[in-house]
Amino acid sequence: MLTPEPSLSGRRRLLTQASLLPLAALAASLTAGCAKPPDYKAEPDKARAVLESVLNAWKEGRTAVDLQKQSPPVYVADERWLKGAELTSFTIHASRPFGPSTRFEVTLEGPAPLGTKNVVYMVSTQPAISVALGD
Amino acid sequence: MSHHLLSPSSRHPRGFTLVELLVVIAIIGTLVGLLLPAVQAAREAARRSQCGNNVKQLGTALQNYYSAKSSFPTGRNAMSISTQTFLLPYIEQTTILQLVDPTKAWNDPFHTTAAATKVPTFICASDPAAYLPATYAGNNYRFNQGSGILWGNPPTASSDPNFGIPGPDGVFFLDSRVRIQDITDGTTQTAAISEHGVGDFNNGLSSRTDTFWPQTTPANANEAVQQCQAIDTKNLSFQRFSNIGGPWLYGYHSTTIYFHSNVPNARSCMFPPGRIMTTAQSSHPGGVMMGMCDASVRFVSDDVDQTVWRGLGTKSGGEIVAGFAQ
Repeated sequence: MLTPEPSLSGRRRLLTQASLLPLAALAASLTAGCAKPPDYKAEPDKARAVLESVLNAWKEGRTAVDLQKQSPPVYVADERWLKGAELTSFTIHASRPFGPSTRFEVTLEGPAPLGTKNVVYMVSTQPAISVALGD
Repeated sequence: MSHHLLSPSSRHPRGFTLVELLVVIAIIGTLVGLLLPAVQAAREAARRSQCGNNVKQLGTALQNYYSAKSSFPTGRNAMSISTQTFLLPYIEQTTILQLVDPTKAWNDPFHTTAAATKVPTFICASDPAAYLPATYAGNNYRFNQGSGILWGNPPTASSDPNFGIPGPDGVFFLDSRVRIQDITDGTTQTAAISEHGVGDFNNGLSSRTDTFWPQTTPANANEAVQQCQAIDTKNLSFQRFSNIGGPWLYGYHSTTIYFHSNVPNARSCMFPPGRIMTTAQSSHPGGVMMGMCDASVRFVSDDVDQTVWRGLGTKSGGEIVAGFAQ
């Protein structure tokens, strides 16, 4: 069987399409490495709500792993909670946006070994929700 | 009709056809596509050279500090004021030093201006540092604490969870004032400075600059390496510290100090309380810049032998460390 010869207009279309490939390659190579990192922003109100819910969960005797299983998951990095320290009360003091996160100063209270501790939590809400002890 | 066909306009076409134009554009596109990676590589080489120049300046500053004080500066003081701070007069930044009171904590309100003041010598152009908060001035250069994993000095109380863990064996650590006679491995064979990228300041995001948290308690550097490599860093439950590389004022494992426990560009991990493995890390393809205690500068490959790399981190371990640099 013979394959029909492309018509003149068909050949032109093929040539045009073939010519566009290097153009696409050019565009790709020009933009390679120029991509801006995602613009994650601090969301102080949302972050405060997250922190309150996390500390309430700790106070209620839930574990940090429980929070990872909810939807959306919340990731908590606080080794005191991980090691089973009890929390009886907390007070959230000052907060301020800190790059893409929000920084909170918090007082934690509980029986030994926790006692009364002034700590800093960094709370991120984008692209995932995270609460971590800061410095 | 024939007169019309032979008119000057038909014998001399007015311009290129669409196909000809597309072919020319395609050829130019191909050539640029071939050239661009080379251009980008050349730009990175220039940035790497600038980073190496900063390492050289810091190495020279260490020597000048030594000449003036008869010891290298401390890795940090009790207020967590960094080595970088003490080197400011030796990199022509005395005015910034006037914004620092080393008897006050690094995060004392007195230090707000200093913490936000950029020092060009502390910045490597290869690092985009896209997420650094405006209140922090960044730092890409770290000083060598040694090949171990203990962050503080060895505890004396047997009740301390880190009792018995060997102390820092590098040149820069808490209240260190190391003298050249303490560096028995030789200043040409002992690391002083390397690099680490600025972090994403976001624990909801996993990046290669972050310090991860395997939630284990390694007894030594080998266990730390193995436990750190074992975790899946995409699992955000292993995220621990993202505030990396700022401010330079703050003497800390996430800002101004690194360890030789694992090879360059391996991931960093922390094992609270007090056990740390912050690696040297850079945006340069294939390795990191490293300044030695004699102020010479090398580029060390990611493939450097781990034993050799640890040997470079100790000041008096007696290791053989030949053939480590490119």
